[in-house]
Amino acid sequence: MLEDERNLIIRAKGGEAEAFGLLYDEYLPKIYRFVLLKTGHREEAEDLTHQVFLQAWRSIRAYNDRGYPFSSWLYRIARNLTVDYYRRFRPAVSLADAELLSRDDGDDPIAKFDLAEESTRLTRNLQKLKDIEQTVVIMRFVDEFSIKETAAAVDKSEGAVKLIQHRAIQKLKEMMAEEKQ
Amino acid sequence: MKQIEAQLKDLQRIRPDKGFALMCREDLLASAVVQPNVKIDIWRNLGLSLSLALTALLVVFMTENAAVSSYSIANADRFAKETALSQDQINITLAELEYHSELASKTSMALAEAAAEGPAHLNQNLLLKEAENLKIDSGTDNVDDLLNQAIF
Repeated sequence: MLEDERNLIIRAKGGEAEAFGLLYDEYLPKIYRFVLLKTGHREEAEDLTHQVFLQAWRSIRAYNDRGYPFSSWLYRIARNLTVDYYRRFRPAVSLADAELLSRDDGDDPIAKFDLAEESTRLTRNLQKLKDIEQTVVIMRFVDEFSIKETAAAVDKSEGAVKLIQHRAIQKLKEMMAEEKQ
Repeated sequence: MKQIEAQLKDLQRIRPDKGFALMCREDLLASAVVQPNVKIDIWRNLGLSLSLALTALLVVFMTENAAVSSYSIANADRFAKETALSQDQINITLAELEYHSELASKTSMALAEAAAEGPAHLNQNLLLKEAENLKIDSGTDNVDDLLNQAIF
């Protein structure tokens, strides 16, 4: 979290574009990743990410900091837009994008391929989960948000988030094991 | 379980394309402007309008009433004064009429007597006799005394 995030939000609420730009810089990778893991398509993820920030910028005055993190508010927008997108288009799931991961580590093409393949399998199975399970898994394990923040984003109790998280990981484990066999 | 969690964490390496990030940022901050928080609250506005209208009506009503009241009070006062004045004028007129009526009858009587008696009317004895008939309370001596006091 940005140290002066609260100030940035206040300034952005006052219409200061540069303040919102700093919030954008902070949260863009996370929101993009979140949307990409849900859609599985880079271009669609980019479009949806753009929409998420556009909506956030236009309605930032509606955000009230009442122990409700800004990140949770953004994830909630992202989740709603993704769900809405799927309702309208419902594209075929194809996450064969080896370019999903923009990796810079090493030039070994075999290692690169293995990692990409593993990630592709994982993300493909991730997309088979229910929407709420996907959201919880991405927020908790990919972006490492707290239970509280995740609960605020999905509008569930912390206990419910723990349960969803446990169930989702179990499902992923089973799916991954089945694919290996 | 831990392996899956580690694999999921590894997905943090997913990053947006730098070109997209830059273009999206520029587009976002250039085109989108925070909408002013102008919510038209119909009920609030209606309430405000009604309050203003009622206040205006009340002010008009009070002003009108105040004008009517002051006009009425002023008129009543004026009317009372005019009535009193008229009453006085009537009384004066009546007194004048009474005076002229008496004056006319006495003048008429005096003229008739003067015409009948001629120069005898100027006779001092006759005048004294008439004065006695009129029962004037002051005696001649007293009058003389008073005249003397006034002269000397």
